[in-house]
Amino acid sequence: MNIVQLKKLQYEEVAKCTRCGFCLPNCPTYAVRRNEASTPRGRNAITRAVIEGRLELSADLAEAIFTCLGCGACTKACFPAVNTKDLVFSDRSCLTEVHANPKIFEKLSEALNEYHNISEDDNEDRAEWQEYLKDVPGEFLEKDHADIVYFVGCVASFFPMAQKIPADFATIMYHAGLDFTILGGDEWCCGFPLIGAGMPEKVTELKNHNVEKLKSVGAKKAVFSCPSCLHTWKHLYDTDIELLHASQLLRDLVSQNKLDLKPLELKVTYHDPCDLGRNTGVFEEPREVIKSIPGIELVELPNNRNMSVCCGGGGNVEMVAPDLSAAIAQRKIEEILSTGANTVISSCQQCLRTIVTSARRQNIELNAMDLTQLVMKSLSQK
Amino acid sequence: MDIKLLHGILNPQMVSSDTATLTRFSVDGVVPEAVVCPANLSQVSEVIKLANREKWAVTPWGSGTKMEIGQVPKRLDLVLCASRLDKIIDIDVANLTVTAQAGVKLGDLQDLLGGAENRCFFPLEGDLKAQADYMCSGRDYKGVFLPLDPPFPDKATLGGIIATNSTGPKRLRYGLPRDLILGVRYVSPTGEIIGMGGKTVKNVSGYDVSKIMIGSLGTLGIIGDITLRLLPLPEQIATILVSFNELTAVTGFAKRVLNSKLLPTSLEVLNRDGYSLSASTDLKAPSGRWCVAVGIEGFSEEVKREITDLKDMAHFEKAIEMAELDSDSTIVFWKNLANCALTLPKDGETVVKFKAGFLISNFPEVLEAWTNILPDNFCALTASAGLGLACAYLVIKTDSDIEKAARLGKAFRETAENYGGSMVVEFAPATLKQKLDQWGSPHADFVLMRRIKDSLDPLNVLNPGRFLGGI
Amino acid sequence: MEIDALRQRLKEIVGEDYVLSSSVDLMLYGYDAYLEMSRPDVVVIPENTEQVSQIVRLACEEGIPVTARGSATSLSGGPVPLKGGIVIHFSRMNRILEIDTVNKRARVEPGVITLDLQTAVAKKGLQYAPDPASQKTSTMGGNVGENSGGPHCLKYGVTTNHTMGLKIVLYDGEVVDTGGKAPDRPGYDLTGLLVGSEGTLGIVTEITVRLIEQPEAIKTLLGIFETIEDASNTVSAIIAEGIVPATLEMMDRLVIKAVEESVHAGYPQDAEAVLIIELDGLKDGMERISDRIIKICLANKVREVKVAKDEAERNTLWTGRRGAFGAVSRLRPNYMVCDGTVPRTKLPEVLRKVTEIGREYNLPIGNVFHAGDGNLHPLILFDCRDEEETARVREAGTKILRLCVDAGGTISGEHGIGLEKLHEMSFIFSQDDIAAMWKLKNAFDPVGGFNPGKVLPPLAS
Ligand SMILES: Cc1cc2nc3c(=O)[nH]c(=O)nc-3n(C[C@H](O)[C@H](O)[C@H](O)COP(=O)(O)OP(=O)(O)OC[C@H]3O[C@@H](n4cnc5c(N)ncnc54)[C@H](O)[C@@H]3O)c2cc1C
Ligand SMILES: Cc1cc2nc3c(=O)[nH]c(=O)nc-3n(C[C@H](O)[C@H](O)[C@H](O)COP(=O)(O)OP(=O)(O)OC[C@H]3O[C@@H](n4cnc5c(N)ncnc54)[C@H](O)[C@@H]3O)c2cc1C
Ligand code: SF4
Ligand code: SF4
Repeated sequence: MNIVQLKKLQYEEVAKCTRCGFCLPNCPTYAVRRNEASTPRGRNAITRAVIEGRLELSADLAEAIFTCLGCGACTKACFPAVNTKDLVFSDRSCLTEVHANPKIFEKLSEALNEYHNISEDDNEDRAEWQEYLKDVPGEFLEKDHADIVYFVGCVASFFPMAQKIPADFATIMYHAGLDFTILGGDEWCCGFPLIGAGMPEKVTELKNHNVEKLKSVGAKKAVFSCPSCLHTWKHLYDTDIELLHASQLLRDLVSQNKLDLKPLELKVTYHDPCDLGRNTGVFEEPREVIKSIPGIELVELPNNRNMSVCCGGGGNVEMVAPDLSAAIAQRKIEEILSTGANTVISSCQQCLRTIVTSARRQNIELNAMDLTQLVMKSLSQK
Repeated sequence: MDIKLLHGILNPQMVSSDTATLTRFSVDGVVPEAVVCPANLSQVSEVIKLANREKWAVTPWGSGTKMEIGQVPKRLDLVLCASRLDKIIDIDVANLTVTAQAGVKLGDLQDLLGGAENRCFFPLEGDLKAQADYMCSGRDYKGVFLPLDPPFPDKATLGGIIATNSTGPKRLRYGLPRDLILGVRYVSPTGEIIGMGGKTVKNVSGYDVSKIMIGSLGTLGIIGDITLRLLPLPEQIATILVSFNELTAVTGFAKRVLNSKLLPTSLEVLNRDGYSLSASTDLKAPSGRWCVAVGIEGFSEEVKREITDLKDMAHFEKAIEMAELDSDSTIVFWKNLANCALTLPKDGETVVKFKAGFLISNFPEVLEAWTNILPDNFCALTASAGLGLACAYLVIKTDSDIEKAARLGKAFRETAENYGGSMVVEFAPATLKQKLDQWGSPHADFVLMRRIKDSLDPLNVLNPGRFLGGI
Repeated sequence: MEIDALRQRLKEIVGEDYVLSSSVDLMLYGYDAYLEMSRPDVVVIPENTEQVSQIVRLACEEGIPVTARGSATSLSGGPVPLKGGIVIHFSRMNRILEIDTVNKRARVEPGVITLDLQTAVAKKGLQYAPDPASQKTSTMGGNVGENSGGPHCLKYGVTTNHTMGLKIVLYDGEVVDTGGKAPDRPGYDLTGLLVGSEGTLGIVTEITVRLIEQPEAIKTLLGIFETIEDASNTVSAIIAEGIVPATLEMMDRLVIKAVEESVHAGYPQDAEAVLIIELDGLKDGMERISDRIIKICLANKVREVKVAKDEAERNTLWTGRRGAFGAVSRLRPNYMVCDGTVPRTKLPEVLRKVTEIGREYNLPIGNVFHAGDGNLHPLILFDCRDEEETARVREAGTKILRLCVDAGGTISGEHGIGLEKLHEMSFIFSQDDIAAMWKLKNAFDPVGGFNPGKVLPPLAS
């Protein structure tokens, strides 16, 4: 994107920002960095100054613009509801155009181009997580046609720490008697990382591929355990297939009494992933699922639902400023511990990965589980 | 001093230099060369400008009830008396503000305010009479008041009260002059007429200059007129007296009150001598060593509830005796307390008053320590439990007790300072003041006070040497 | 000193990471919530008083201006570094140092967010009363700088009434304490003078405030009116009745509409004005007083009085009120708030004239304000990208302030003079008055280093 396009697309939006500063306390990056460049207001001021020609589009801006988590917390705190996250992503696109973006994103884009996944693995290994499956027959996941396609996403497919999630989710769906399949090596990255990297135009190829593959299976529904994949599909893909998050599907199963949930004596808290909660509006389904497990006590985080604080894993910040991402995760852990719960549940493999990595690094004892894992745990109780 | 210069700007009857008058207006035994009573602020301004040209030292004078406050003057040429600046400029019941000149006596003002009509606000147009019927929805009492209750309310002038930051027990609920002042017009030490603030209850335009005029003892300006916040008279008032023998019970009771949701107007702890000052003849002395007086004001339901709760709390702390004063006795009781220093001394005696502020949490310790160093002869203690304030009134023999009083004062001060506070000698004969610093030692922020005084009063014309640190 | 050398010295004081000087950073530290912008030469983010003292001493030696900044939500240009120099950002000095429940005092660093203090003391059953609408983001240092007020200040007073003591860095870097936890320290009331001085007299590095008990009971009413006039008459009638509620806040139709679009606070969109009336204190008698208030509302032709049923309903009402400024920028991108204050009996008259000014200048004006205090906040809506319109807004703003002054009021009730209202200072102050304030300024800051160009207009020679 260039400045003329930026102006056309975003000037009215950014002009709504009155610099009132109400968003400051909500921004996790400001909480850590304590400077104006790490505030939503500051990022908007940069956008505006660029549009008005008061600030040159240069690498000087990259730090402020590429450290936004895209968590959207600022917009919820903002009475004119300025969409800072969207403005930041446009800025990133402009910076990319003038090659003032962090080099690591060029590599990311090349990798996606070549491997169609973010971890630079052979895409055929996407179903590696099936090793964790115990009682689901392998063929079951290789159907050519099914009602439901489970879109697994890169992180859960390739990162060992997250691979139990698809395994558990698939097992649950299998036992609930659902007709589903996965795309295996035909599933490509949804393109979400490219938006955060400021290369939205490069999503097109990935998108077209994924949509076509999904059609070929003849599915009526696609289900996602990754909120960011879901969010990308919902907002950038044009498809009339019903798009669901795992927690929504689980909630349906619970309400149809299809899950034989057994008691778990646990005190848990729930972390709303930004892309599932605030940015997609799914708050209650995961909670309903948790509460339907007998014996569980759910305590809310001080900042929950719309006010949920990002885990630090959003917006590709981890790639450009790992220290910042880790510090934000650390604050998240402190918030979790303050509830007195010994287990945190989330519905996003990326949140869990960020939280768990940070806890391990600091030797903090903290149980973290995906909602699907929690359900699986309850199902497999004697 | 050339009196003729004064005649050039004031009527002859406004200027006095006869010995009788000069003696009457002497400050701590220092006799001025002239006394002037200007009738308006322009005249005050002219006098001060003249004083600057002639390098005279000027002391402002309200009604002289508090002239003992402050060090013995370094120099004194002219006393400027506010007695003619005695007009009430505006009582605005609907806006709850009053503007009056510095020489107005608080008592006179309160009388007027208390009787002020309950004028409901009317829209600008239309038939006032017809609207009056429905605009007021039957308030069954009237009047407003200025929530200040300094000592000697009948005599003290508004200017003097402001200049000395004079307060009384009701400060617990209603705050200080600094919380009530909305505007002030004064003559600066160099003679300009300065106006700040006005009738609005909120104002952040420019510096809040009125704040440093409060308690500055006339060293930064001659106060001309003042605008203050008013409150509607409470629907009902009452006082609860509770007596105890042990100080621990006193402080236990006070703590209970302060940590409750109750909002008493005052919470005064009095020793037996202190109590005897405030009791009127028809009130028998309580049997305990200590008496706690709790003032209550508010809507009738509130007052009823507070009385019930207070009695419960007193029971809990095993009070020896309890009494409830109705509204008339309440007025008398607090008035006596406010005037107590006047009634004390007999011939050859004088009153010395020490006033300390300290941490509220150290209230028990300060009271305990003060009690232990009290002399055997008459000594009244009055202390505000919720504020961290305590006053000691000693009656001493003017000729023989000075040394002793100075020693006591030092001990009192040491206690207050040990508990995070300070002590001021509010009232004492000049002989004592020479032995006991009135204000105590200044803190590091004194550099700023000095610079303010030097900047505003470069020739040191106003009240030289009377204030903290020799200002 | 060369600018690079200055930056180096500052880095030695606060550390590499906390000295900012890229062109982006300098742009970002040139604004607040007012229109005008400037640019500092360098920004520092210190961690303690000692560092602030060293920064100020260095600035004094080098003759460089110093401007303090909290969250930069000032609406009058307070933290804008007009003459460049150093901006001290207090975002890292945000510790609550002490909550003393026995003496009912709290000691905080200036970067503490107002709401964070309120939340912390609420856990101990106490409250810090001043509640500016910006409380969730404004800092205590900024509140002291501007002497901020809020809805509950009608009953409880503004920041200055709750500030007991300050730790101040003087122009030469010296550190002194004014006031303190104990009452009645002898001497001039420096604390009182410093509160509201907008960082022009000294830099605050610690604040001691008074805490009070939380009220036993709270009752919140929403009066819905067909005309602004009826609502403002109600305000005066309530006070004249001898009732001083905790709050008396008013919003007019334009603002109600914007707020409803933003948060759905439950205000009726077709009403011309609403009043939020809150009572607090002992529960005894509250019912009768609230009935009396309802009667007064009825006498003044209220359409309906709603009573908040529970804490949640009460919160929604207040969320709407606090978000009002922000919400109107859904209608036009910018607003200018005129912070004029009048004796409250003048409200109907002044509000009517404000509407006329809006018509005269062809500008939409919304009203949301502290009616009980007579503190107006006409919000003039516009788009600052339109220069001609902006010029008209400024003119209309000045005219509204003139109007307030003519009605016996003043030009700022709580937002401060900053650089916004320097010109209008002459509406209320004579040259002598301003000269008197300059003398105070010179006593505190003889080198003129603190926040130059604010509060006091230059003296006509
Ligand atoms: C025995 C005794 C005990 C007292 N105890 C207390 C007490 O416990 N607490 C308390 O708060 N007060 C106490 N007071 C003082 C009393 O409250 C004062 O009478 C009153 O508050 C001051 O008013 P005034 O008009 O008498 O002032 P004055 O006594 O006339 O003046 C007091 C000071 O104010 C200055 N001043 C007067 N008018 C002006 C003006 N217009 N502009 C500028 N400066 C002016 C004078 O120069 C002087 O320094 C006591 C007084 C006495 C005699
Ligand atoms: C939407 C909105 C609503 C608002 N509502 C209200 C309201 O209801 N009531 C109200 O009173 N105000 C209100 N304001 C104005 C503003 O929020 C207040 O003035 C607030 O106190 C400013 O705090 P801040 O931390 O943002 O200070 P800043 O804007 O950063 O600074 C304000 C002033 O204080 C000075 N300052 C800051 N820190 C220090 C320090 N440590 N030492 C010395 N000086 C310092 C600065 O130099 C500046 O002059 C509102 C503003 C907005 C945008
Ligand atoms: S983004 Fe919204 S909340 Fe933040 S400063 Fe701008 S208008 Fe205010
Ligand atoms: S999207 Fe999140 S990280 Fe980005 S500016 Fe808004 S609150 Fe901060």
